[in-house]
Amino acid sequence: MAKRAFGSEQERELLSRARQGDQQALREIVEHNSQQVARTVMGMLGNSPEVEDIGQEVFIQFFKSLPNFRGEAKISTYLTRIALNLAINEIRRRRKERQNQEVAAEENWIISPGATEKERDFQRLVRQALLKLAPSFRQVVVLRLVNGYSTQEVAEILRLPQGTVLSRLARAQQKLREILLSMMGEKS
Amino acid sequence: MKMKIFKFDKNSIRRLLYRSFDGELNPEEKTRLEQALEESKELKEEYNAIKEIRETLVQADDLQFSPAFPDKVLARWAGRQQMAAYSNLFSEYLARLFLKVVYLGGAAIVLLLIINILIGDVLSSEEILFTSDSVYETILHLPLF
Repeated sequence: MAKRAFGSEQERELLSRARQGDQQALREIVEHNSQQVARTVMGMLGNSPEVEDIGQEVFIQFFKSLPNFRGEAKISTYLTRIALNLAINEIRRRRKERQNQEVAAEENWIISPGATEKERDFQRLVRQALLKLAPSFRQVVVLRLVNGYSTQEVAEILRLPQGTVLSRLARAQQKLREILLSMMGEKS
Repeated sequence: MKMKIFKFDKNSIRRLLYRSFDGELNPEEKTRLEQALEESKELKEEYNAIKEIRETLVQADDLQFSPAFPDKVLARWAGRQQMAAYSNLFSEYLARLFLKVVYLGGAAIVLLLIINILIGDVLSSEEILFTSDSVYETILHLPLF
């Protein structure tokens, strides 16, 4: 599981230090949330070379918006929203350029080192299938399963009713299974 | 106790199946799903497949940025701030330059007017402001009030 957000008091204090330009506070924000952002961006885009650059941009946008950030949402929620928006922009850009980098990115997955060969093959296949899902479905799967947010948190991040999140999640898993079956068929 | 036998259609059971992973099923729905899973091999396979996919996706420890990521972010942020500072300086410089131009322009206009008054034979609005007297007369006689 990714690191969870700070307590609200701790977060307020951290935000106030960060607003004053305290480098240590900015570093703490990055260190505490980078895994969550990495999972969101990599889940959405695959492990392509530009994901780290997009990850950096997520934090830069957050730092820029610090003076206007009122703390209504948790820092992690806000960062995940920025990460999703930037990832979706990147998907659009890729589509425009008609480069299927997502397929190229499949080869770059560094799969859990402890897993067996069979498990690693399946994990690679599942992540490839994930990249073939439409972004609206992909984002719910990434947030719920890859990031480990609850369905309520996913609804809050995406500003959607919880029922919509649940139905999208169900449809996404159904599609994921269909994609996997067709990929396995192609493979065999 | 006799078990309640539910009749189900495939679609509603599939909805239950997917909801069972994320939403909480009430006891009756749970029983309906369990019963359906026992009865349908196809449904059981689908349930197991989704379970396996979910378990695989949850294993995401490898999804992380390089260890130098925080340093890179802070370096980029420092660079952006420096750029913003330069940009502000440039804007201030432009604003100051613009003000100078405005003052100089204003002074030039006043100077031209004075010269025009001094060298003009007849003191008329046409000579001073390069506009004919008739224009002023028309303006003065406009029925404004």
